[in-house]
Amino acid sequence: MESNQFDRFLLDSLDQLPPEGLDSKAVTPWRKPVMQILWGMALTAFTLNLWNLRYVLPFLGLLLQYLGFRTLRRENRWFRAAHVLSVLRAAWSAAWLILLAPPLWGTVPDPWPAASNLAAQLAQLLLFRQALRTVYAKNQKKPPHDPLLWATLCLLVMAVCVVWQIDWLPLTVALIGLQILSLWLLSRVGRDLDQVGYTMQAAPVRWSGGAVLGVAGGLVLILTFGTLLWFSHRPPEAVEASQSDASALEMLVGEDAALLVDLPQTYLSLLEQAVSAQVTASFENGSLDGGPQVTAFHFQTEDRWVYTLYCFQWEHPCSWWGDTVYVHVTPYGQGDLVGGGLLWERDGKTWTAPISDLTYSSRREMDPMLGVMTTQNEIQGVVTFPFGSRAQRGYVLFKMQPNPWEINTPSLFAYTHRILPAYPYAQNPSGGRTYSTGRVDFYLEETPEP
Amino acid sequence: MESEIVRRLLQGEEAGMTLLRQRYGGLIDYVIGGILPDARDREECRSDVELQAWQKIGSFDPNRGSFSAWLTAISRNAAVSRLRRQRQEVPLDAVELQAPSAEEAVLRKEREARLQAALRSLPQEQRRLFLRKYYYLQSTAQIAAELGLSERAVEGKLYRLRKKLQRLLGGVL
Repeated sequence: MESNQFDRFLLDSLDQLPPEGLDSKAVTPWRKPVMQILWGMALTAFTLNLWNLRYVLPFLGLLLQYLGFRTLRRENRWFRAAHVLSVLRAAWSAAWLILLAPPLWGTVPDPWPAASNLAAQLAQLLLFRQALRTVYAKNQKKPPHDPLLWATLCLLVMAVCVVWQIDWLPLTVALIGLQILSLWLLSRVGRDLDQVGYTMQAAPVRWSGGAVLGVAGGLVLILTFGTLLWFSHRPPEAVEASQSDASALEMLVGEDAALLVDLPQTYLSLLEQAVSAQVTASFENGSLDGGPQVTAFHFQTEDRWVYTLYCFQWEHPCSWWGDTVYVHVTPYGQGDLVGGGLLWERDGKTWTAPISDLTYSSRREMDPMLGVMTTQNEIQGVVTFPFGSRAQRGYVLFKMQPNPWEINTPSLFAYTHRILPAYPYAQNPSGGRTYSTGRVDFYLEETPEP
Repeated sequence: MESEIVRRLLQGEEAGMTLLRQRYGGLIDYVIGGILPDARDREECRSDVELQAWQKIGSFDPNRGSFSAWLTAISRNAAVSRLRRQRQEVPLDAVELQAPSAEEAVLRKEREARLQAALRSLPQEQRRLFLRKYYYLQSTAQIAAELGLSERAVEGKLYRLRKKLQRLLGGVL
């Protein structure tokens, strides 16, 4: 049967009988968009703190609100304004989803987006209310109830309570009650529209609701994970490395001088001033099993400066997702960071780059055991090697000058290895392990009093 | 409110008609508006519907469906009838008056039963789409706007719906 004939057959059949259980209330111009708006408001009102739903559901809610207002935008100017606001809110939310996922967490103060979101939510509720009142006015009728006004008041009361930040159980219960009340009030909107909703005008759309949800959701998902990968894997800008001449240090460190050829010649010149040295390659107090091989060098100069060099090397390449190197320097005397670098093999060449974000910090704090103020010196940096690199290795070099009465310069080297890129919205990177040398001591040799 | 309107209409009270206009005026306009594009036609058709509601209220059976469904059926049939008259087709009332042969009547009954069964087996979303297209006679553009879909998407859904119904009704056709 041809398509037209079949259509004719269906039309003729329906002339004879109305369809069984015809639910006339299901076919309306307002039910779908208004329900989308109400569901959207419900999803943005409640949050669930599991499986990242506190991010996903409000975004979905904002998209639903956008779809609802989009359909009704030609009904009156209030709906149009609410539609524009819903576009802004959805775009704003999408930007936040992307910005908050990677390690940018905490760089933007929290109260600001919360306050702006609350203001936008209130504005949208009021616009929605005014839009519905205009629909009633068009039909020369008065709305039987005003649930949106009460929902707005509930939201205002909740906002005031949240701003005060009162941690009081009855208040929490009252807030949950208000939230439920506001949602129940919103659900009454649909019932109230039974009389006048048929006069609403639905605006044509270019993109179906499902397509909008799919594209917007997919785009945010791709950008979120893309940004995450970008921040998790940021290989440093590299230059081709050339081997330095460490032969002058063979007298002090023996065959371990082979490890020193990776250092720039300027650093080697500093170390060549040393009068004594010590190499530590096995760490009894440490936990390096399965981690990188670490070698500690200590060089003491004539004027009691001690240069400490930690060299690390992975047997198998695996450091792609922002590992962290950490050195804790025991607080005696003064010290400073000299430098740190990464080296790797790729395409038959050796490449080098500085360790990213390498910092030296010193802070005073109370020692809980000794009850005295101590100085904590820490060096931190981020280690990411490019994909396809082999023989991944690096070093951290720092110097310290112990007080005249000190004979020891203890330090500790730790390496946190991340197996996977950061998980979205996780404050602490998961899937990693920390390897440590434990405390490494170097006892100074007697030197003449200056 | 619904039972109040029905009671008053059954008792022949004018107030019943006023209540009907207030309560269901929007629904009647909506049903008629999807079928009749001309404003004057819609106005006349609305009067026809009110007259029929006044005259045929005795045929309303609350056990068979809601009052709004009954009113929807009256509005739809009145609008379709008017549309056919304008296109110089046989009016709906005339079709009903023509007595089919016994064989035709049996075949039609069977066909209608199969159609109802096929409609019952459809998912709710498709069922509503069917109603909009073949019962309310809404244009693709109107369906698309009210469902928040593009016209192409509605055409695609209708195409799949037709194919499905053809498959379900294959034996009858």
